[in-house]
Amino acid sequence: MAEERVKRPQPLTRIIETLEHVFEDEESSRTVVGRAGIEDGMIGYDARSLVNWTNIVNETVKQNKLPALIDAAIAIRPDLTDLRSALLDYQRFAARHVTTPESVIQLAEEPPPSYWERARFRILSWSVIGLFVFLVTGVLVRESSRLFFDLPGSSMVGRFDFQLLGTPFVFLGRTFLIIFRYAAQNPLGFLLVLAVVAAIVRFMVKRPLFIHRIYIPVVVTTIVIAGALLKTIWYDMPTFSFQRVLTTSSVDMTSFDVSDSLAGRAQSLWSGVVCSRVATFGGEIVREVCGTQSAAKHQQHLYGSYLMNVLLTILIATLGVSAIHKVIHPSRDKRWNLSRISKWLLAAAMGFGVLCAVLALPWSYARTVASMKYPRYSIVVEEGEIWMDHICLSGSDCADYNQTDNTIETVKPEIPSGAKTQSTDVLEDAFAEQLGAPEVIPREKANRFQ
Amino acid sequence: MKRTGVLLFVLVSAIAVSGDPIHVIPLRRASAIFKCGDRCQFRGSVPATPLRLRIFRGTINQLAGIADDPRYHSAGCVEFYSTIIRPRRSGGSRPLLNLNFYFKPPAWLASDGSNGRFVFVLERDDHPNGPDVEPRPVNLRLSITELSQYFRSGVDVTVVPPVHTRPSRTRSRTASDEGALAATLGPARDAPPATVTDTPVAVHPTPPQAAGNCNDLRFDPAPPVLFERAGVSTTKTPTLLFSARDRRAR
Repeated sequence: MAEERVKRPQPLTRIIETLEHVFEDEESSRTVVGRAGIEDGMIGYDARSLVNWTNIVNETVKQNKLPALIDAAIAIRPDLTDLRSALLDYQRFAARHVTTPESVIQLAEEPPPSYWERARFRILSWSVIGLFVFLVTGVLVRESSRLFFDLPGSSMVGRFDFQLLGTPFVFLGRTFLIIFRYAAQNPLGFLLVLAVVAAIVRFMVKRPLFIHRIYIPVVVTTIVIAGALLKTIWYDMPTFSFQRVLTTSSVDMTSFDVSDSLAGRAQSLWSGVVCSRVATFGGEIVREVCGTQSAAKHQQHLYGSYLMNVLLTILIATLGVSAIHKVIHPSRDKRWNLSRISKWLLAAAMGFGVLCAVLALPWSYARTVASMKYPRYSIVVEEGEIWMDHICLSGSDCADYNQTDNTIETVKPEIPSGAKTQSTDVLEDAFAEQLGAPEVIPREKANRFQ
Repeated sequence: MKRTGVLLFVLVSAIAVSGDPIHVIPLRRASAIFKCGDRCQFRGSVPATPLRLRIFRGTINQLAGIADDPRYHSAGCVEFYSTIIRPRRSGGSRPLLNLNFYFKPPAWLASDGSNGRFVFVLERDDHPNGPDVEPRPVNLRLSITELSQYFRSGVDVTVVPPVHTRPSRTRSRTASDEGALAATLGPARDAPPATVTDTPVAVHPTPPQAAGNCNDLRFDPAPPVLFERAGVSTTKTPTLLFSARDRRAR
């Protein structure tokens, strides 16, 4: 019975990857090999770092001098502590699988590890995180809308249906649409933003000397966490208080429970939502809330603010992800090779910051720029015809808003057959109703006597 | 001459205020709690006649307690300013009364921004074609002997402020605003201090000529109507939804 061919185990791939990152040029690799006392007559040195170190490690395995190679590397770069654990893992593997001269030869003839072999863990973990963010985006948009409209319903993830998976696509599609609409409304501003972004990207890619000097874990982690917090506080947190907008006097900000520190920003964001709908209505209250600017101008400000939020989120996420990657993996730059505890702590802190920044975006999207257009249908009762706004957050998660009675009731997704239907902006209708209500100021009681 | 003028004024006032009796529909409810911004809506098995609600600042106990205050025993009537609202009604046996306004801070809160407390009294409306909200305050003269029963026929309404209480919308009141406000408030600026514990500037014994000067109150003999805040969110099956009779034409 033929023995199964021994393939390169993951710890050996980790060793090759680390060494090829840190000792990139041929000269430094020769130094390590020389210090390890390895016969290098049979090593095929190569200008390509990955091939070079594959050949070195293969020959070292053949000579059974891997511990000496690791010792030599760590003697030059004491920050490469991960090499020791990789060596231990490999030795455990070798004790079980590399027991015959044939198996050593097989292992020493392995070609350079493929990209999938090297990046398998990275690809899988980022895919899982991406999928998690994708799914959570749908849940967040739905739950944010539920609180925004005060719809009755189940708990956060209580009512899952497959149509919920479409919500993130709607979110992304709408965001792209807003980019184009904003570009059409304010082409000069849009071009200016594009130019600034391009300049920032170029600046970071070229990475001038002073940026290179401060590009260290403690600075980058601080920037990621502080940036995520500031972005969330400025763009997302003020929208958290926008709730029960259909059944209360939401056109007036004082109906919301906003802390003083966020009141100004919340007012600014909410007036964009309100005035992009009612600025054309006219009237004293509208003038006070919206000023003299047109509805289109308010919409432009609202979209601009949201796109800035998107831009900053992308920036923070990009910086955060690359910094997490850099801090976890071995680097040529000694400053990025931290102790095991430090690197995972920093990675976790940055991951938390990035998640906060990213997940707050769909939450604020649902209550600022998301389309509030829903079908509306009429039913005939004894007293006449009434109209119901049919709000479906996902497949089976639907509710009807009866503006006349100010009631919201959970219903089945189907609109009754034969009902008259139309599409309407439910928020615009609610604001119109609120603006039409008289302002009542309660009387003081009096103590007058006859 | 001056005395004659005063007497004539009192007589005319008496005729004016005691012309139509006020039919009070007793209500039963401990307290209805709204949040700032909520729409004012109630549900109850009220009679199918035109109705109006009177709104007073204070609680039932505070207002009814005026009758027990020894300082006021000698008074014949106590005059109140009231706000009259004619609600929109929809539905059948237990209709929804939509007062078509929202509880907005700070008008509906105490001066320190804490809970606003009001008494809503339901009456039969003898002017059903009147405006939804009476633009001017309506004087109500209650006999000291009926005062307690009148307020105990109403319901307590509490308006809860947001957790982070702030002044009302950032609007700065202009001269025209002041005019509009004055029209709504009427002589509010002349009104005496609001709290019942305040000592009145002067307490006049009831003159014999003004004995019939109070509004004539009639209390509905039917059992008190359960009057509740209408909930905003419910769960119903579509069948119930479409067979519901208590819908109002838009």
